[in-house]
Amino acid sequence: MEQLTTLEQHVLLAILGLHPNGYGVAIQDHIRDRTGREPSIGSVYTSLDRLEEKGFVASRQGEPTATRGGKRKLYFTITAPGQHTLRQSLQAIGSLSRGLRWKEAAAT
Amino acid sequence: MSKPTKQQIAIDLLEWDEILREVSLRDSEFAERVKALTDRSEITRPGDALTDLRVRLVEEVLTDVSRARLAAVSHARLAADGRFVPWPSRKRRGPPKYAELLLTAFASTRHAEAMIGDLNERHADWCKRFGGRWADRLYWVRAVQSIGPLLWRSVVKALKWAVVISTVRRFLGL
Repeated sequence: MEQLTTLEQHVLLAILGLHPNGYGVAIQDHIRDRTGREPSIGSVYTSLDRLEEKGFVASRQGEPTATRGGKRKLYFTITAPGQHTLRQSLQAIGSLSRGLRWKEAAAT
Repeated sequence: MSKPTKQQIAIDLLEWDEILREVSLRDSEFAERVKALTDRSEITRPGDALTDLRVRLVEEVLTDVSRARLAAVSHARLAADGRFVPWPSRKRRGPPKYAELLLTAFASTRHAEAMIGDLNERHADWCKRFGGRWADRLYWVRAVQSIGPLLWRSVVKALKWAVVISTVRRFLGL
C-alpha cells in the first residue's frame, strides 16, 4: 500500500471537500480553517506535485484573471486510485485509534 | 510621476469596480458624476490626484450606509468626523518582482504559473486589507517560506535521476 504523509492526507481531503473548485489558495484556506495550521504554498504544491506524479490527483487549467497577474488557476481533482489510497490510509489511522484507553494511558 | 490627464482619471474612476459594485447608480448617472468631478478638479499633487478624486467621489455620491461599507474597499480611511481621508500607503500595486523570480527559479515547471498566481491573488487581498507595503512584506515572507519544500523536492528528484543513471551505467558496464 502506498503511504501518504499527513500533509498529503490533508491536501487530498481538502480537494475532496472543495470538489470541483480545489486550487492552491482554496486548498490552503481549507486546511487552515479545519486544522488551525497553515502550510506554505510551496509545501502545498510540493505535495500536489508528488500526488500528481503518483496518479492520485489530476489537474485542469482555469482562466487567467487580473488579480492573479494574468496567471491561470490550476484546479485539482482526486482520481479513483487517490480515493482508494486515502480511504485505506484513514482506515489505518481509524483502526490504530480504536479501543485506546486514553485516561489510563495519561501520565500523571 | 507625470500628471495624469482628465481623461485618464475618468477612465480610472470608471474602472474602479469596487465602487461600481457598491454604488447602485446607473452607469450613465455614474459617468455624469465623474465628468462633473473631473471638469472642476484642480490637481495640485500628481501622485495623490487619483486618490483625492476617489475620495471626493465617494463623499459626493454615496449615502451614509454605503460610505461605511466602502471604507473597507476604498483607497482611503474613514476619519472620526465621518470624512474620507486619503491613505497613500493603501495604493494597489503589483507583487514584488524579485520574489516572483525567486519562486519561478525553484518551482516545478508545470506548477510555477499556478503557484505564483495563487500568491498574487493573496497579494491583491493583502493590499486591500493591510496596504501595499505590508502586502509586499507578506509576499516575501510567504515566498521565502516556500523555498525550503520546493528546494527539497528538487534535490530528491535530482537524486532519483542520479541513482537511475548510475544503475544504467553499471548495467551497461560504462
